[in-house]
Amino acid sequence: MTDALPLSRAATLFFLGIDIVDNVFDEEIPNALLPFSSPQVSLTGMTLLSPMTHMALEDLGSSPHANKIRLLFSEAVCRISMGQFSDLSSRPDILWSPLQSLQVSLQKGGIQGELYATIAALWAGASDSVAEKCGTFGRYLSTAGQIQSDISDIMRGELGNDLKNGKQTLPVSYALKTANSEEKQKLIEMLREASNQSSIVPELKRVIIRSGGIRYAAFCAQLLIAKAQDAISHALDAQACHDLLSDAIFHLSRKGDKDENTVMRPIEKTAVLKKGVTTCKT
Amino acid sequence: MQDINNLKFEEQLLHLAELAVSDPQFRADALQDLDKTIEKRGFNLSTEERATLKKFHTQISSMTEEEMDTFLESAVEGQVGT
Repeated sequence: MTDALPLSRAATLFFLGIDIVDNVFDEEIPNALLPFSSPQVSLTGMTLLSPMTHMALEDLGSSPHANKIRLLFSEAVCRISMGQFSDLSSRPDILWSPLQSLQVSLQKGGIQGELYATIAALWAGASDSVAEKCGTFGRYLSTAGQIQSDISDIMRGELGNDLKNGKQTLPVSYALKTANSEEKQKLIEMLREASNQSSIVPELKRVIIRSGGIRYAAFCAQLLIAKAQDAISHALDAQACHDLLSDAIFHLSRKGDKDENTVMRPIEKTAVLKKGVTTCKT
Repeated sequence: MQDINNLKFEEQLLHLAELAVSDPQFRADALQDLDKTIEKRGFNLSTEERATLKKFHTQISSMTEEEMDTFLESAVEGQVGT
């Protein structure tokens, strides 16, 4: 277990760095960093993400596995940056297809999950083939988690950051795709105005729910989870597979709780989500 | 790592999800004969993807609408599978 500490340290620094940079982009600075300016917070995130992560990775030594892990980190930075860039370029007046929205979820959440699952498998001595299957598991499970977060952003009680920033997450891009030209124009207007005019947010949410966007995104998430489960069942024995899935479920659920508990109690959350899913059934 | 410009599986996944939530005829046909339906609708899935879909199909095919809502809610709430 001691041997895994440098890897764990590197992954933690990497995750923290990405999270802080993402918070700056979403104008959602954590309370502990509020006394600092945005450039200072960005610099903190970038320092954690790159030099500090690579310093931690130095402790892995120079085995072929260690070198491969360092390369995987570098590759992941480039891919996640591309996702972040695409995410930032999302504007209500440039329509995205659901595939473009899913691609950003893959690049932002999926690549991180793929990285962590792959490096953990490699460091544990798994073959390349098993590490690749673990990577596939991480990629699709994390992408499903990103979609879950996108759905929560719409369904939760207060104005979500994605809606506020006019982002075309999967439920939104589906709503735009299926809307007629009049509805589409109305939806674009509402996305554009959401940040300045919070009174239109309830109607914006209703339009997205009525389009079937929530049900569609939830269905996509379940298909991704099925793909992830299938990948891991080919890589690990039944007990290890069960343990890993239980752990992943716990952490994914905690992520949901973190998003929701600040705005509504769990029982209210369930009622609101149930209503959202049921409403868009037709 | 995956080539992000080669998203064949993801494209088909989105198409499947769209049909599943918006096309009652697709849902009815898929319940009768999944293989024939996905072939007829032009899906080109690998053997592995087809097996994944069949497992998923088996999981949801006997669900009532209410059970399906609960199942989809579990994705919304960040829980994996059943």
